[in-house]
Amino acid sequence: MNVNIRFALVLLAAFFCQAAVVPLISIGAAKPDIILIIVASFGFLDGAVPGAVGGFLGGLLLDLLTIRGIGLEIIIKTIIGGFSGRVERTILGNSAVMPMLAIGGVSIVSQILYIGLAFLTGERMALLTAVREVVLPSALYTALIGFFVFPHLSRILSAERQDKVFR
Amino acid sequence: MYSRNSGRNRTILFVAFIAAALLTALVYRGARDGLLSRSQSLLLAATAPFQKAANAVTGPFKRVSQYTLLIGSLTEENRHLKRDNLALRQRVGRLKRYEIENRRLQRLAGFRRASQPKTVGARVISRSPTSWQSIVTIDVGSNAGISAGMAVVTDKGLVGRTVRVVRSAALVQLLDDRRSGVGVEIARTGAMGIIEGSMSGRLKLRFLAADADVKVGDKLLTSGVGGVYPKGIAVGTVADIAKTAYSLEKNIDVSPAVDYARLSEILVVNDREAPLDRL
Repeated sequence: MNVNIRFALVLLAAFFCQAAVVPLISIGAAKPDIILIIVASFGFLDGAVPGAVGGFLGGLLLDLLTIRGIGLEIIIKTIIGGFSGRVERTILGNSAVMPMLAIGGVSIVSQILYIGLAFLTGERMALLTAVREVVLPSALYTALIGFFVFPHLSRILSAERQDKVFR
Repeated sequence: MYSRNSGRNRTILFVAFIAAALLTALVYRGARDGLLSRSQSLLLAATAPFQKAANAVTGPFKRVSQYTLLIGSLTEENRHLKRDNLALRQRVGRLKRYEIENRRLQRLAGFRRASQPKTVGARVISRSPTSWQSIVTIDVGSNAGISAGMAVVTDKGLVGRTVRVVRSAALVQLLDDRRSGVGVEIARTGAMGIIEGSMSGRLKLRFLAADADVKVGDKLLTSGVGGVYPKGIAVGTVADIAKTAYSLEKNIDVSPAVDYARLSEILVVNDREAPLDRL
């Protein structure tokens, strides 16, 4: 099966997981961003353009879940997908910890971007409280789930590209 | 070869960003029943059964763990409840007498008696999927007469309002969502302000007159101004008042009447005109 179709299926599963399972496993305000894990992993494994396009689709799905209207998550996930594609797997290597750190990092970037864009659309937010109570715990939670999920995603989303040569 | 691929990649990235920006603009200018709004409703209808199923699977485990944790304090609580029950029965008897007397006096004065508001009971089947908004999904929708913009309450007070409704489910924006706002009045003085949600889970009382009399412990009720929430529903209690150095406005924290983290059953008020003195 084509890697893009597999990505679409994984993204759809992640969407339902985000809608139905994440609310049940949240710890306070900390909620893992499953769609971000998928988008970032796709970027890491396949490069900037697939990452950005995947981010666009993932952001659209996430926006459709919210009451904010569509746009913020599309922009954020597109940037994150493209940004993750720049990291690629050459930097991640075969380490089990590096993908977790990278996912935690992009989660923080993603949420800071959200705060910035939300501010531009007129939302008031106490930055330090937001970072302390939402950004860091959510990034930690997302990274932890990424640690367990990334090896599987790596197998599912990059099987056809094992012969790709990195120089 | 490299430069051609690189140029193509940049074009795709550029198109993705432009499409994202256009969609954002489209939504902010879009109608409430536009294509994107309908897509959101469609996805709510698609995800609601999964949310209901996930809730049904985890519900019993959650209840068992809650009961296990509570078992030690139940005996003590039971003793307190029995004592409270006795006191309340005596109070109910007294209030019934007042009610009969009140009805008789109202008839004498020619007042029309306020009717009980029509409400629809619902169960919370899911919560917000992201950290940046405070919403719940409930298991009733347009098939039970629910529409967007209806007040949602519990026996303790105001919960929020319905914002998106499909046939068998609805999204409720809770009061502690940062974008929610409700006009309130201080029960003791009648001074009016606006309650807004905040990051910390507490509510903020804003736009209160600078010379307004407000004290810690003051009860806040909906003012009915704005037309979304009926008048007289409990919203919360003033928990902290701080004067900020560079602002005329006091920084007032409000402890909500309802514990939004433990919502399970709620009532949707589908009668906007009725006063809610009894809730």
